[in-house]
Amino acid sequence: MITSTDNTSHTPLLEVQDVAKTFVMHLQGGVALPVLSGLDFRVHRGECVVLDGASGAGKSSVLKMVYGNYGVDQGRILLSDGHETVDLASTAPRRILAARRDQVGYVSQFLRCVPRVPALQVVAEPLLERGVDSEAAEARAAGLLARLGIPERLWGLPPATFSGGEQQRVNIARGFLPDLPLLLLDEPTASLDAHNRDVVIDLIREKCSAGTGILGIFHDAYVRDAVADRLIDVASFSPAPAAAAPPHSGAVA
Amino acid sequence: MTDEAPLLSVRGAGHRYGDRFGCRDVDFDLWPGEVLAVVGESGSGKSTLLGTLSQQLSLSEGEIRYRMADGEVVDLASLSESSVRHLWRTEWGFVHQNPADGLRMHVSAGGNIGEPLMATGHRHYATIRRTAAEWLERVEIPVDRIDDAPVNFSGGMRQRLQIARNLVVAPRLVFMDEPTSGLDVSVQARLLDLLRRLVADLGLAVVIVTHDLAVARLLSHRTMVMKGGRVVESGLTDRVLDDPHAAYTQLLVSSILQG
Repeated sequence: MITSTDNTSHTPLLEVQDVAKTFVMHLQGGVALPVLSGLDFRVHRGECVVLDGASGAGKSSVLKMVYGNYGVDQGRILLSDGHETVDLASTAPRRILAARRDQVGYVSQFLRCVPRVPALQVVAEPLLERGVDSEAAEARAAGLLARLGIPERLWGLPPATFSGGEQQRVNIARGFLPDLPLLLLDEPTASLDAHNRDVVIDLIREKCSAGTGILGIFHDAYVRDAVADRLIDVASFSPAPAAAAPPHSGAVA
Repeated sequence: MTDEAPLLSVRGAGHRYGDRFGCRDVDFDLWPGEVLAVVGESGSGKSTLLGTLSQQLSLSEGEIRYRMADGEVVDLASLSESSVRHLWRTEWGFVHQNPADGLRMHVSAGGNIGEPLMATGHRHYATIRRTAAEWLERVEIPVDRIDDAPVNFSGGMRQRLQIARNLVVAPRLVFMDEPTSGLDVSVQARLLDLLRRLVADLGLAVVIVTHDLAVARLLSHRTMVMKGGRVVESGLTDRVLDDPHAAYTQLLVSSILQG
């Protein structure tokens, strides 16, 4: 397993510099809820960095800022492909879309189902979008679904009807299938049984061995201990003594 | 999504009804393969903007530049009517909310798809009919309905036929005005999935007007939120919806019923 430290001389895959985030709630009289300030950390290739801290500390907000679905009020989020570095905090929407296609994957807590699309297609889609031919994409999707214990009889059905755990495994398969340099994981093991949890741990280790950098949230201490190269205490970047919960968690996501 | 030039460049665009502006100060660029959703409630100016972009309403102020298929960038307001008609035949499509506005309701389904082909110079009947049959299949209309007129079709089928009629000539830019909102929810889901696939397969640039944030989320890369004729917020669709900054966008997002 490749391990890197913060002292590595080459450019990090991801460098978050002095980032601050505040939510302003206009419907509640414009109240400002500062969530993070002075956020500063790096992720290197092949490294699994875990965001740690109590619920409400802003861990998911960090992932969403890196992925671009939350704005950044201050600071820089530098993503490097070894040649070019882009500041995701300030770049244009289409550059973020290009980064999502070529550089950053994201596995959210919940699968956002497109109606009518069968599970195999849902999983294969990220490869199809990147130009892999459908036969090869479906073969790889099938392999990963099988590994995650989704019975073959379900592959042709839309995941909307699946159980929570099955949907989450479809979501994991979809997120893990493309080979991207940086992978963001938001509690991928939350509703999995012990066996599937171990499968996901193996998948994470394989990704890291192949050079992928991972930035993740894992409440499950067993998983966290199994995969983490480093922990970042997100609560230490809380702007106020009592951390404010991100207002959108759950309600709007 | 390479660094080629935008297909459409809009700067300070506005349309005035008498002494009142229907939309004003609109700026954006649209690149090939990009889907831009314009969201807002009725009266927000989103339909006026769509009409202005698509040259159905006059541009009262500002500029709209379009990069033609041959690479030439033109100021749309300065194009002759015949040039605009040529664009409609060859490079642009418009999907109306009500399919009856975009179809010939008493002409056969095959004829509705074949007509735009004939208008662009196709003459060979068998080829036209074969292409029409392929497009019916693509939009999930049974090919044995090819000789039936859309007046006898369901709402969902009519809308899918309108989409086929628009896409058969491989347009570069398609305007869509609430394409799913006249349909039942189950039919909407099917149409959205179809649109999503066609737009991606054909690499279309699309400006879609919708009041439905779920439609914007599913189909679009970027979203502009309009209120009172102005753009109040714009950006990456999931950022506008997950981290809305404008008070009005926060209101819209918080008004979505949770399934």
